[in-house]
Amino acid sequence: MSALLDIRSLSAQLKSTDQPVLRDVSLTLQPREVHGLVGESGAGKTTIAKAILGILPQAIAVTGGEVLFEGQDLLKLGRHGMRALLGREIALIPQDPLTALNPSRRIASQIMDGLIAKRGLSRREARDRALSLLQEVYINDPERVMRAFPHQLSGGMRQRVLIASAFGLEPRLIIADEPTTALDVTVQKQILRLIRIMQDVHNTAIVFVTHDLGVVAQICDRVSVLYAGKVVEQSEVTVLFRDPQHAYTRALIAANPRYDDPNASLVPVSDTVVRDLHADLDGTASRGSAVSETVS
Amino acid sequence: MRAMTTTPLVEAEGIHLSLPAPDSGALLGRSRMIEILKGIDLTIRRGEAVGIVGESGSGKTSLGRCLVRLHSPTQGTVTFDGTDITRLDATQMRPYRRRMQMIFQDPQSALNPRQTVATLLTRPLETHGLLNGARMETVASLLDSVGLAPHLAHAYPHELSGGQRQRVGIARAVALKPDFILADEIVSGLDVSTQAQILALLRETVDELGASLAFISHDLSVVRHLCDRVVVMKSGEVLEQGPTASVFALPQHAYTRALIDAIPLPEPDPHWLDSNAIDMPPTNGARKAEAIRQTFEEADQPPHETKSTGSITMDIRDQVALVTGSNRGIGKSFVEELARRGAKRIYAGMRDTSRRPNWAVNGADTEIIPIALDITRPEQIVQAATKAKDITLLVNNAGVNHVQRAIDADDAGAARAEMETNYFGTLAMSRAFAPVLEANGGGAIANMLSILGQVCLPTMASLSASKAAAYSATQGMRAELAGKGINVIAVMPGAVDTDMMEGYDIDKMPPDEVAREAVDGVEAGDWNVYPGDMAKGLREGLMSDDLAVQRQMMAALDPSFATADTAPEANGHAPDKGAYVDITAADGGTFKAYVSKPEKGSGPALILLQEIFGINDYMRSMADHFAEEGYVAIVPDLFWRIEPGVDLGYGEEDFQKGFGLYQSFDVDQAIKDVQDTINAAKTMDGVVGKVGCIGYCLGGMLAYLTAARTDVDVAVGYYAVGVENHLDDADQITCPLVLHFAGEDKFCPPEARTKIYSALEAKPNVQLHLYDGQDHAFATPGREHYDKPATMMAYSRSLAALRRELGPIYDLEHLWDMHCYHEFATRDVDATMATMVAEPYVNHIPTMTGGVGHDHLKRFYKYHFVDSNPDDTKLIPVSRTIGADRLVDEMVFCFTHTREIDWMLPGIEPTGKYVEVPLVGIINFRGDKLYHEHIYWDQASVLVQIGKLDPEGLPVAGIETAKKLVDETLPSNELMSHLWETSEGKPI
Repeated sequence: MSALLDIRSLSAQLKSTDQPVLRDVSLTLQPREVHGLVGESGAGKTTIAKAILGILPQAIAVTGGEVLFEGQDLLKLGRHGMRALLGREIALIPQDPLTALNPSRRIASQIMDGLIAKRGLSRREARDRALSLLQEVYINDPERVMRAFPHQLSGGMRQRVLIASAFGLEPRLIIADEPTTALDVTVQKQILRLIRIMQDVHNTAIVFVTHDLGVVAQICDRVSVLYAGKVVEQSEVTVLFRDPQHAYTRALIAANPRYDDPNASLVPVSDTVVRDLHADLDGTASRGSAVSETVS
Repeated sequence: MRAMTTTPLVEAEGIHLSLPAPDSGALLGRSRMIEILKGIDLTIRRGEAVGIVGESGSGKTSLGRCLVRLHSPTQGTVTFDGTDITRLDATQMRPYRRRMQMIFQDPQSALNPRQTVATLLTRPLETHGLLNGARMETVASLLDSVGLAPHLAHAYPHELSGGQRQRVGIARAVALKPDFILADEIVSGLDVSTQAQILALLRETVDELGASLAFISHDLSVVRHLCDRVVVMKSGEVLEQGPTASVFALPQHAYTRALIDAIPLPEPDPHWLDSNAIDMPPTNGARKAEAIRQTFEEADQPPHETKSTGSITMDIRDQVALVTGSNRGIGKSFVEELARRGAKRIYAGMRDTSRRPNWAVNGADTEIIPIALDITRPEQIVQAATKAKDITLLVNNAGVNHVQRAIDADDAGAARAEMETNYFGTLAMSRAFAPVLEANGGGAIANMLSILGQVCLPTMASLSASKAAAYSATQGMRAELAGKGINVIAVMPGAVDTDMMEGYDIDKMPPDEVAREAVDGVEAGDWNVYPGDMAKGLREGLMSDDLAVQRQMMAALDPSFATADTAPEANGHAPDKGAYVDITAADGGTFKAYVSKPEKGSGPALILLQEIFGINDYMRSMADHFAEEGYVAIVPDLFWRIEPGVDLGYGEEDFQKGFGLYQSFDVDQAIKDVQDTINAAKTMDGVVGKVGCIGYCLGGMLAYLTAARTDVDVAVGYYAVGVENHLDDADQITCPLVLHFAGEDKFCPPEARTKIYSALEAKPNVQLHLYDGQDHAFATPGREHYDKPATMMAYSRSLAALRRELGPIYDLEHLWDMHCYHEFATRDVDATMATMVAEPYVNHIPTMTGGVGHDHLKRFYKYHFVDSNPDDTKLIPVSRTIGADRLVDEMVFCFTHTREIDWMLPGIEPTGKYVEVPLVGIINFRGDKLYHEHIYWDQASVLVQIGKLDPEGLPVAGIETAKKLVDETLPSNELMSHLWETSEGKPI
């Protein structure tokens, strides 16, 4: 089966300092696959997500590689081409539903906008579709929610609305950027389950950005562990947790407190691991420059 | 290893806390009061680490804040090291502040961004006078203790990483060597590696100090690692608490279980996402039925039940059953339903077998054997168990039919016995028949328990308790008997149409439907059965946290609920009529003074200075009035040296007498008497704080002199007479002084006023107000020149000055919120009235609806307001202005016209139209009570929106007025566009 998304050797750096933010990142995503991007803050998870969505900040320059979506390089698509693709083929479930929703507009019109603009529905069709989407995400009083303003809904309800909105456009790929970080643990579980159900029903592939190894373990098929912009380990999720290969992955897992194992002492990622990681990063950098020298 | 003792350090007992809701849009827009904590008991021992866990909104942060007195609980006590600190003021709290320190969630905002780390660390030490030795050495050692490099002393918070900031937070807290540390979500937002470091540091530091720790967190895994004990909170209550290990191993509460189950472990588990606990709520859509079934089943799993217990199903055909109370109501329906499904034999238990009914069994060949069975009589139960030895199904339909009769007969003993039937009867029957069922190879017990048992109706408290007890008993039995092949189910119908529910005007379910669904439950091997939509609705309502929903439900069940729990004394209040006290003059002799105190008994003192009419009705009523405003009002008899006890009216004869007294009045001596009154006030019982004075006419002039010659703190004078003769005193005035002048006052003609103005106008602490067109005594109701608008204006100005200097400062916003809370959320009319003065009024200006005076207004609220608004009514706050005695709310009022709105659109049938209209409320307070509300809106706009007014050709607009209020960029001048065009291009 050909890959839906194929990121090849993607590198990027800060324009101001030339500090690398992505180092030779490669990953492929099959249709219907949920791929987790996990790592600590600054690891580059969100940068990859933004690169896919074509919304990298001005301060970051891509220095190499390609982001192929169904064979098409998104990096070369330009703003206009990207806009045609966003929503219709690639959609986003953001971290903070409150800021993602316009506070002054009712939920109905916010869902309908996308359906009208991206799927060409009439207003009436869009309204009917919005209603059924809300029902699909287990909102039991969709009429009320349609009329509501975002602030009148709980965090979990807002996230449901955004999930309905994203899946309603029937995209092939969804980028979920820490979609449950702001939620209570029981609500998080509902939302994770909901994303899984929707993904199943709509045959969508998902890039799932999170810092939570627990969430990765429960929802992802494959996972990339990132450190300082580099993929340090990439594998099937079952394999990763059963038999982590990289010292950093092992350290991350060990630093995670587990209620079922309270006596395991929480070990911060050790200096040795970090030193090795940096040595490795420098190695990558030097190898990279070696390659470019050869090319020139 | 920490040194944990059993001595309590921090103890919270029965903590209640109410705060205004943050979401102003939720219920009718206005912020309402929410009960955040509902009676929390918690003890933290010395050296102990206690985790407080719960989801957002559970009240864990509020509880933490109560423990360190950042919040003052509404009820209950907080004890710290044996001292009750609940009501200590800031000064009294000071010694304890050092001993209790906090570390906050977001160190970025908790640390002052303008201070260096060094200052941040030493400031608390300086404040408490504990900075010994060299400052930088102290800083260096503190930094070292939390693993930070010494050079960071000069850094600002934004230059640090999240982990470093949290280390500074910890260093700052431990600098004072506290006995108690409160850490509120201090690792949320940190990377897991940093989190591990901070947790290790916290634990080490706390252990070293031997301090107690309250660790607030939403992360149960972290708490599991760090804490000795854990407290699980939900909706402002403690669901369970205990040693961390045992709570995690054996959670007693289903919610705790759900919280733990919801934590994703870093270990793939294909079943985790679909595993039970709190999950998808009921939906409409295709999956509705399934989702409801799952949700209910999962939420209803008895906490102790192990998953391996499969459900015990049963086919009723050819079974033998025993039904108690089978001659009437649900019991009768049960017999019929079981017969219809082909039961072989039914023992129909009833108290009196001679009164057997005709069961409608339609020729089913079920054998029905009536047996005498009064489940309050053990010997009859034993007898029944020997007789009905072949049953496999027991239906415990323990009725309480006779409760009402017993209550009516005022026989408390009988009523209690009847209610205990629920519990003891169910238990005794099950106990007697469990061996029978077991001997017959298993079976089922169905306990009929009204869901009312879970609703604490105040009028049915004992009944509810008995039902709740029976429910617990059912749970226990289920756990106990599951291993013996016996399924014990609880059937909880809502309101069933039996004689027990007579008089309740709500949707009731026919008993035969209840029986049918209950028997379905028995056949399916269910656990809890909620027949009918009503019961399911109740169930959902109970499981939601929304107080308003629960209140509504209770009110639906019991109309008296809305008013039942209001204490009678809350119905308005009569102010103290006041009393006369003796005041000793400095030169000997005593004089009388009328004293009126505020309801709560204490307040700043306000001395009222008389007119020439002595202490008459007007002075006394003004004193009572200022007592309502929160002052201890004192009216000294200043004529006492001429004639004590002068009390005149306003007739001509009385005027002549008063004027005569004034002729021989010694002003200088009177001011000395005022000073004596001030001195007496300062030691008077009930006086707290400062002393002010206010005077009218003669008293107006005395107020001026009092400001100049005594140590009064503020003075107010109305239409003073003769101030122009005492302008030499003007330079002595140091306290704030307010003088009101009437333009037409012949006792203070323009030339006199000019003199006064030129002497006083420039003084910064003196305010002079002129009321044009008003005459002397314009502020005395009943007198010739009384003018209400001028009176109100002068009053607001006077009160503003008094409040500024004397207080009391009331939190008007809070008072208004409390009022709205009862008006809109609890819809409790008596409680609403209790937030108002004894005789308040409400005026809806456009429709002139409302009420004047207590009874009139209460009637209006009760029958025409609190339940008169459409369900989707919403008030969106736009602005709020708070003055000395008034609050102005600017709002957008939104509703769908789905019912007749008595106060806004009386006589207009619902049009179904959606309406948004700007609405302004001006709320006036007297003391800590609401005095009146003036509510304004644009009725034309409303009428246009509901289609009752054709705007064509009229300068009125519909919903646009509301839209433009919120978005001023919407078009202006559309209605005057033809005029607007004429000024196009003109110079501006």
